Amino acid sequence: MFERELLKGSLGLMLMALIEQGPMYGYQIAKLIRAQTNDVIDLKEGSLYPALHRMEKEGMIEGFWQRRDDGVDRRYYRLSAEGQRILDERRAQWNRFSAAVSKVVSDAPIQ
Amino acid sequence: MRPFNESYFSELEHELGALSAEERDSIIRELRSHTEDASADPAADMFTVQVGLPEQAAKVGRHLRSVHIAARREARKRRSTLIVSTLMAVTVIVLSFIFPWFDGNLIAFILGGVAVVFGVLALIGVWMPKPNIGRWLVWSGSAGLTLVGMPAVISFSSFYLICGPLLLLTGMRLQRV
Repeated sequence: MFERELLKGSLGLMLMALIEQGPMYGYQIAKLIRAQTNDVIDLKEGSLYPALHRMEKEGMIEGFWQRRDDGVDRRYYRLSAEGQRILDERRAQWNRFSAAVSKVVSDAPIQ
Repeated sequence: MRPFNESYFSELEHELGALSAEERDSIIRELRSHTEDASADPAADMFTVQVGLPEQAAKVGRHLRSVHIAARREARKRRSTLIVSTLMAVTVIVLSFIFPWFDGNLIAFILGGVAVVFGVLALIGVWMPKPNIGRWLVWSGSAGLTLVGMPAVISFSSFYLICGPLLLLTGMRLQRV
C-alpha cells in the first residue's frame, strides 16, 4: 500500500491521463487503474468520486449523465480544453520530476 | 479482496464532509451506479458489492446534513446573541453618557464615565475576532458594569435609579455571552 499523500499528489494526473483516451465512467476508471498498475494501485471509491468532482469544479473535466442500455444512469467524464492544457503541462513536469527522483532514489548505494 | 476496515469508510466520510449537499447527492448517485456496474461484472472485487457503499455514503450524508443543520442553528443563535449584546452595550454607553447631565453631580459623572469605559470594553470584546481576548474583555466590561450598577440599591439619584439597574442587568446579561 502507498502512503495516502503519495497517491493524492498523482491522482489528478492519472485520472486526466485516462480520461484523455475518451469519455469514461467511475467504475471503468477504477478498473483501468487497477489493471494498468497490475493491482498495485487500488483506488477507493471514496477517493475517486470526490476527486472527479473536484476536478470538474476546477474545469479540468466535464461530467455528464448518460442512460445505459438497461435503463440505469452512468456519469461519464471527458477532458475539457483547459484540462488538456493542464494535462500536457503536468505530464511534462511529472516526467522530468520522476526521472530526477529515480536518479536519486535507487537501490544502488550512492558513490 | 480488499480488507474490511474502518478507514475505508472514514476516508469516504472525510471526503464527503468537504462537499456541498448537492455534490454529495451526486456522488451517492454515482456510487449506486458504481455498485451496479460491479455487480454486473463477473471479474469485480466482491467487496465493492458487499460493502454497500451507496448506503454507507447515504448514511454519512444524512449524518452530515444533521451536523450542518445544527451548525447553521448555532450560527443563527450566535448572530442574534451578537446583535442583542451589541444593542445592550451601545444603549448602556449612550445612557451612561446622557444621564449624569441630568444629575449634574460629580459622582454621577465619574460613574457614568466609568460605565462608558466598561461598556466600550464589553462592546469591543463582543466583536473581537480572537475569542480568548474577546471573552476576557466581555467579562471585564460586564463585571465593571455590574459593579457600577450596584449602588442603585442605596441611592435615589436619577442616574442610579434608572441607569444603575440597566448597568446591572446589562453586565449580568453580558456575562452569559
